[in-house]
Amino acid sequence: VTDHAELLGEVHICRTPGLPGFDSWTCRIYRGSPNIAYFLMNVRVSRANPIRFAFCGALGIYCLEAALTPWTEIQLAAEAAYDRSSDCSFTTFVGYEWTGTQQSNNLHRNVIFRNDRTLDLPISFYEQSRPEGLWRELREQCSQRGDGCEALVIPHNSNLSNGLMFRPQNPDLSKYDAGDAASRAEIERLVEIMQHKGDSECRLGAGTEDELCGFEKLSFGNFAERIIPFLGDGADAASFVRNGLKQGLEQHAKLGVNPFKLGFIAGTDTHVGTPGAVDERRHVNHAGRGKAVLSEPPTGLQEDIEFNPGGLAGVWAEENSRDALFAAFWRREVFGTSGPRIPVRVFGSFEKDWQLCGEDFARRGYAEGVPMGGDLPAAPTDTPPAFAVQAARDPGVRGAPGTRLQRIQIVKGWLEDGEAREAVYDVVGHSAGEASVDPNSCERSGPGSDSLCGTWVDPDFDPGEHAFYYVRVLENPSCRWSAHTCNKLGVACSDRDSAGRDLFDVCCGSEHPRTIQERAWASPIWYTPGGSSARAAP
Amino acid sequence: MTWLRRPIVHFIALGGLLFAVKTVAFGVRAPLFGGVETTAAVVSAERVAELRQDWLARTGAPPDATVLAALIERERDDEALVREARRRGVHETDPVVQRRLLRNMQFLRGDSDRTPAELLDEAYALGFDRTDLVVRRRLIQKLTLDVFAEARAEAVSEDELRSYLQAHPEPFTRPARARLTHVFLSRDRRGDAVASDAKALLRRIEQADAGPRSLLALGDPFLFPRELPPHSEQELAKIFGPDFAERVADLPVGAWSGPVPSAYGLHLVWVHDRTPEQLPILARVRDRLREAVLAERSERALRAFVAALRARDPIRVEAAGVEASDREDAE
Repeated sequence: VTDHAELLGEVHICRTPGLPGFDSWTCRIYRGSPNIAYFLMNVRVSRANPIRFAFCGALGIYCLEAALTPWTEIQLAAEAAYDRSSDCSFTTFVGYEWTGTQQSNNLHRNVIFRNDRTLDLPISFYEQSRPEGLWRELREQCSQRGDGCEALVIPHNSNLSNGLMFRPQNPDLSKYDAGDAASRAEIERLVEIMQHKGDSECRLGAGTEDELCGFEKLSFGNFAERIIPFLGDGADAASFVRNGLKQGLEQHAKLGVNPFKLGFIAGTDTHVGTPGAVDERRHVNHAGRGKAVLSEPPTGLQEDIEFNPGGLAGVWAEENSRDALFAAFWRREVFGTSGPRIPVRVFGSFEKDWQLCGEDFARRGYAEGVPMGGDLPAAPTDTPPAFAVQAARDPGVRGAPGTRLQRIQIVKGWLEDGEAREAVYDVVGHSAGEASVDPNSCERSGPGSDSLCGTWVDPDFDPGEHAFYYVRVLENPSCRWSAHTCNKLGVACSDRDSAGRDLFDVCCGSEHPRTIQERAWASPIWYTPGGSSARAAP
Repeated sequence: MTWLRRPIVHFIALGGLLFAVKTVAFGVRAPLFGGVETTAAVVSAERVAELRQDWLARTGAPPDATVLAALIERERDDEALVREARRRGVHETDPVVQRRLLRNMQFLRGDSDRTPAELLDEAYALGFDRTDLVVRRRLIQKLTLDVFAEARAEAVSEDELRSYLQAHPEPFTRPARARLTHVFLSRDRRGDAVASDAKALLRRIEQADAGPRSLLALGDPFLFPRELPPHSEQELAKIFGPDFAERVADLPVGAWSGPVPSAYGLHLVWVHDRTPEQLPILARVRDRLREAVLAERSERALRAFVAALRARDPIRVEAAGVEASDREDAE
């Protein structure tokens, strides 16, 4: 759980009678009218040059002082829940969210620390209002401190960045040079591809014709557009991860460094402290959005229709410990899912006639190729790269079996005459449309696979061009959370009288589908002409 | 309807809206520096109303009788601690209290040229040390920390550790684990033949009387390893699904068994060994355990301390319906 650094002290003051500021207007609004406070506090952190609330005192000193308490509690909680025994049963990381927002455009980052050597206080948007400042301060206050402090910065909700997340541009609007690109790539090695507030992989009409990008999309590009729709439609290409990766190739060709070399994870961001609660059937809502605790149980949908329960991050590591997991984050051997526990593993290689789908998939993968998140070596003259992929469906829980897999795809991005291109290939599995789900009963039917394994060879490989390859695993169709809830509420889309008008329109409207194809995304493997000078893990 | 566009109309409408919001949100006016009088051993009716209002503001619902009684009880405890702290003179010597009082006075007096000592004297004369909420919290905190420090001073004995572990085993218990090797037969690949294939394979290996590695080359590819280090039922369920995980607990050790169904097909399973559910060796959880013992001991000491204070110097409650005094319930 990564708390917003910007409000750690503020909220602590407002909830602790006796602290200076507890009686301030802002705090009274926070306690008395949470929905107004939610708006006020969010507007406050959306300014270009944010200033803390008056009750924080000169230079924000009271709020900074107050932030020490929750920041210490976060670290103690992380320590208490971390199993340091050889059982390795549970691992926690200390982390927080830097809630950088430029004019409502979401540049949020999660900051995750390798171990218990962390910052004295989180660097927030108030101290550093630009990501560049955050990276610099993390270098100076953490990694250069010499006591083993290390941090990763993970951009999230790029779909709400209004095209700012993957722009190779400094705050002074100058273009990235090699140094800028390197300093970003050094600390931003992962990106959140999916979460509660939508999918960030790609978007139809924003640099792609891939129909499967039409998944958990928001109709706005930042939160201002949500309130005032005519400002925009959220289709800015540079908000989406696939376009970011393509931009990365262009930058790499130009600067010799790829600033957007990002592995994939997914998260919840529902702010309820339940990071694994991503089941469409038991969606619990997003907390803190201005609804008082203990108020009436909500009627109708538990959540605004456009949001979703969020996703999960998967890691291939030697053991479940902070060091092993962080090292895997660093080498990007990770994957994200839109919720289901779909494990997926990918290796790439220039071996001829490569066939891994038998014995020893992983052992041979490491021996003969490179794992997901890595770089292909220099290309031999006559062999295109091959990619071996294995995935399994979510095994499910008692009474709720997971959905079967439909197919595995490879998304390739490459440069052609200096211009970024993309293509999507089917690797193995069934065709679209063979299986289906009844949105009224949520009964799934049709053929699917418990697990899939396949090898794909690039048919159009050009050893002289930059490229990336990432795997997408698709489930068969299943009900979206909203359909589960609407069915439970007795809404029948064939019968207008089955529900009140508002509820009927939300449940049965055409804006949000009643069924979805859940999925997993494995981190890309990159190819650089002449081979990559990949940095070793620290 | 051109009057609707006039700024003055907007001005008045917005003002009215703000007033309404203010009235609804903060029905009770909070005084500038709290409002707690600590001279009499009493939780005043006004204070009870505040407790009620705080709870409403914090949770969105008024406290029911049980909650209100608990809130009042805690207020009586706090009152007893504040009185004891003042009896010990903490309010006159503690630097945090003095800093707070000074800050209040500087705020009130602005750019006055009085010395800090003069300002402090004035603060005490005005009774801010009795009414300021921060001072009050600090007095409670100071006394609580003293009680805790005393309770923690005495070393924790081995006996205490052991009996605490016995009384609270759950947080420390390690679940049962099994170490196993399995051979996978894929339902995807074999379809309806998967059951007969699995039985045939099991028969073959039983006749050959071979060990756990004999079958490895015979199964279908599986995403996770064939040989697993010790896994608990919960961990197995994450890989194979709940049915498989549950069955493993009943399988014999040191023999091939199955077929065991999973989310993906059938498995022949060899359980190498099993670690039963167990309390950990004390040495491995000593630090966590000691912290738990000390926390429990501190809480107990504080409760006893407050109870003694209240027996000596009862705290009355004055409020409609909850009129009570410590003399009645202190026995």
